[in-house]
Amino acid sequence: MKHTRRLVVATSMLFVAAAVLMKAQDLPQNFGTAEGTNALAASAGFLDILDIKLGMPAEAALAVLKKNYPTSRITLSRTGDYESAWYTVERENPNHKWVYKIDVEPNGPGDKISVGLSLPPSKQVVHSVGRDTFFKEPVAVENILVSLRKKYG
Amino acid sequence: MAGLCWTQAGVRELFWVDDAQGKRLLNQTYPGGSGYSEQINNCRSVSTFSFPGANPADPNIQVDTVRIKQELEQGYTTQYPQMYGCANLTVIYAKIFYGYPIGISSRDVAGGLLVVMGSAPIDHTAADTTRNYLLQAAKARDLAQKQKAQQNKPAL
Repeated sequence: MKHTRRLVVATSMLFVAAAVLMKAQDLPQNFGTAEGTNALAASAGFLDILDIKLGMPAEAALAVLKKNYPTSRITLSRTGDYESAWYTVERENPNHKWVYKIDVEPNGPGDKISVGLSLPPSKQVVHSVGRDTFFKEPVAVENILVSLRKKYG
Repeated sequence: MAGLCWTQAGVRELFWVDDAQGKRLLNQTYPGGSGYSEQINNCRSVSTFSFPGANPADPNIQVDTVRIKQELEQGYTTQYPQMYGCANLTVIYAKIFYGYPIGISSRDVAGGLLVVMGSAPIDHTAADTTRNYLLQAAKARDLAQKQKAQQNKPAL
């Protein structure tokens, strides 16, 4: 109990420090809330990798991956029991584990995709996307540069 | 584009960096493309902007990360010393691999491509929300335990 109280006090102090820093960084008023996360997610969708957009809901991203990569292995990575961040848990509660990443592994050559998801209780959305691929046929570097500049500016 | 550099042999790197308002930050390289700005160098290793590979030890499920535990315990911006400047950025990073692994020796021909994009503001606000939620839950639990204990009296 004493240990927990200390933890709560320490984290409260960190929270205050974070709030001060947030103000210094001129962040939106609702930053650090579910509404703030939703608002940011809604404004980030203009950037994508293979149709996986930043800010896209996790379910939509998974559906796109399943559609685009029907033969690849798609796995979900989960956090540990979130209570363990605050208490020592003897046995993890499966309901306290969150999916934080979707991985796509090709069967053979192809795209390796990793999609990072934001944490709940806000609606889980895509906060990062990675794609690693080896081309079946060699591609001119200039063509890649032109395509990248066209897509991302 | 924020910058394009030649790095180690066989690789070319490109960065696009947007600030919190979505404004593109330009000229993030030193003259001649000899290196990236301090900002990119400080932020490029932040987990939000790095390619998070699958865990080969347990590919099916169940990967716990120190990073997320640290985010929840200490806050998103305490992950890295230079994190404060990075926490407002959206970064796209591309790495072009030459065709060496597939037997192409020309530097103008690529054999692979890595592209990563990450929005630190989304990751940051969601992590802070979760942290606040857990903090309130911990307080509520402490209060409930205390109230329950107050109803009990020892037999003396």
